[in-house]
Amino acid sequence: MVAALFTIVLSFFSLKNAPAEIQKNGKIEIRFSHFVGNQKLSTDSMYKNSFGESYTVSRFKYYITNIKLVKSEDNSELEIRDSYFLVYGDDEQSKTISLSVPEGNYSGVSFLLGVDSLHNVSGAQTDALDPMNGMFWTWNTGYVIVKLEGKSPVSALPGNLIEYHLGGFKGPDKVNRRIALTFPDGNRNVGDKNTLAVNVKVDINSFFSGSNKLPIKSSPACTSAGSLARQYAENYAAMFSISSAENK
Amino acid sequence: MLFDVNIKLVTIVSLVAATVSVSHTMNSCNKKEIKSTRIIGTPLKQEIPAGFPQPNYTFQNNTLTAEGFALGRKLFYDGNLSKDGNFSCGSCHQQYAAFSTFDHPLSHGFNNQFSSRNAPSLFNETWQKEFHLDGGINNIEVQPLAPMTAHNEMSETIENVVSKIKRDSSYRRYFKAAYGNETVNSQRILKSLAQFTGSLVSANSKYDKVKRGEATFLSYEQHGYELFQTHCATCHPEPMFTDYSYRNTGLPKDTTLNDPGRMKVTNDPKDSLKFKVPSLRNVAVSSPYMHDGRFWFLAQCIRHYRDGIQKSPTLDSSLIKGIQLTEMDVVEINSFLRTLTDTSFIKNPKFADPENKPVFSPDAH
Repeated sequence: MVAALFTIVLSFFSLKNAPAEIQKNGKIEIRFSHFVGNQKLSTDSMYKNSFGESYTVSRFKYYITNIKLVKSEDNSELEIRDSYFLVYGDDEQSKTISLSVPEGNYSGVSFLLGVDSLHNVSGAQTDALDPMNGMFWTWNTGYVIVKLEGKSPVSALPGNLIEYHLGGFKGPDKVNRRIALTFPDGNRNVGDKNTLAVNVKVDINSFFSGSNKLPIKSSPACTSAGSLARQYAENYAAMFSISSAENK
Repeated sequence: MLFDVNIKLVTIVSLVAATVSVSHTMNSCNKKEIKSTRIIGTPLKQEIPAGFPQPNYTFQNNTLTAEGFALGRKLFYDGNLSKDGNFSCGSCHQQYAAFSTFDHPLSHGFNNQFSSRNAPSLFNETWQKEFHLDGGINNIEVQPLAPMTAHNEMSETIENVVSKIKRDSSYRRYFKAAYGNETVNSQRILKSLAQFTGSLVSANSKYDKVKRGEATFLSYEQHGYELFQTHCATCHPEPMFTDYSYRNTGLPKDTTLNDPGRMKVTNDPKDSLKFKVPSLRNVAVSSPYMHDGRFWFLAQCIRHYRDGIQKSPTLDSSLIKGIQLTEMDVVEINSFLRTLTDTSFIKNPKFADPENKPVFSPDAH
């Protein structure tokens, strides 16, 4: 009891001489860059996947939510509250996510590619989760979490379209995936004068050929929840990698 | 963009510093909470009739107010929620038919199209766990998006609805009164619609009055009630007159519609041809019947369970042998079902189109 009191008194005392203990914030920027293999993605240019199938991408959108940082000191996770972002392939601004975080050392970042089940059942949402953003199934409630559209000569669909609207938040076929990325070569410091820029490469070819081989010819579209959507989800779990994490 | 973070504090030395930052965080939390829970307008109490269970939706995060309800009511009757301005929610959900479509097996939609199912009546919606005959919608707030965007119903985009409501100056004072400012967004539109549809409570039929000791059944209604309790109450239990389950009731499949029922949203063959059990409240005014409106008369529905059951792998186990009923039983059950009509609900002026003018105005003569 006395010891505890002493500690408290001591703490008051130390505070007086140590104002630096007050929590300060720094900034982390997560920047997504879209690639097909090693080529930078640009709208409607022709690319080839690992099966040699040509395709273009006219629209690429996905949800990045529930971001967490991994603390260097004890590998515990720091959850960034209310972090819901919609990344648009053709909108540069949306590809950089800026977060205010407590200063400290971090070894990695993770995020949900998708929308957690709670927000799929909570009624009318706004901002990134506004159904007006075209990422919401109105007849079978739930968010589309990845949208990839374009064309391919091997697609037998009208207009050679390829169309992947992946969603489903329940049961074994749910398509939400937590993506955990570790900073290359160890820890990074974030301070009030020390912004950390994390550059994340997104390789669209992984979508077709990760752990599942999904040539365009056999499935040019996937627009409802189910086992096919789950197979794409297993693939895109490997679509993200960190190319660099630098202080600036 | 700045975000608050959950701060875990560990060291004893920073105890006071911790107190400072915790109270700082708490302050910002409190501010946020105050911002989101500050009530604008006149709060209304959710109506929960005596004997009803607790509703599933309780207007948490959507404080029920007179002003929010008034905005929702105006939106419900606004044709601008559809592409060509012809189809409001109220055009297929007519109050005098307990908010179903009177006299139409399938409802009319954009460009001379028909809806793919019979429009369900609307009341006691906050007790529903899921919406639509296949249960595809999981929250009352997002339900309107389905008819709004269906090509054969209102055929509009959410974006266009928001921009049309923004341009309509008559809404400005409604949004200000309900939300404190004139900002129009999809969330406000949807939440206020939920305030209106969630307030459609029906619990004042003759049946309810009998239960409250204010009326008595005629003898054939009483017989019908007893037969109902024996033969129908498994799927249509009191007081809601539905168990909210999905069942295949042995209706022969309409091959022009090919409606898979609940399987449409679950992709599970076990759900093939299953549809949500509807409440039987106000059933006498919501003809025609069944998910595709194939029966015009209540007696046809009752006789279907006696004579019409078609066997299929997903047929409800309680219907395999059909329901044994005499013609007299059919008449008496029919009579009981007519005691479930809540006239005060279908004539309640507070649920009517706020812009409805009398058809024959004295000035017109």
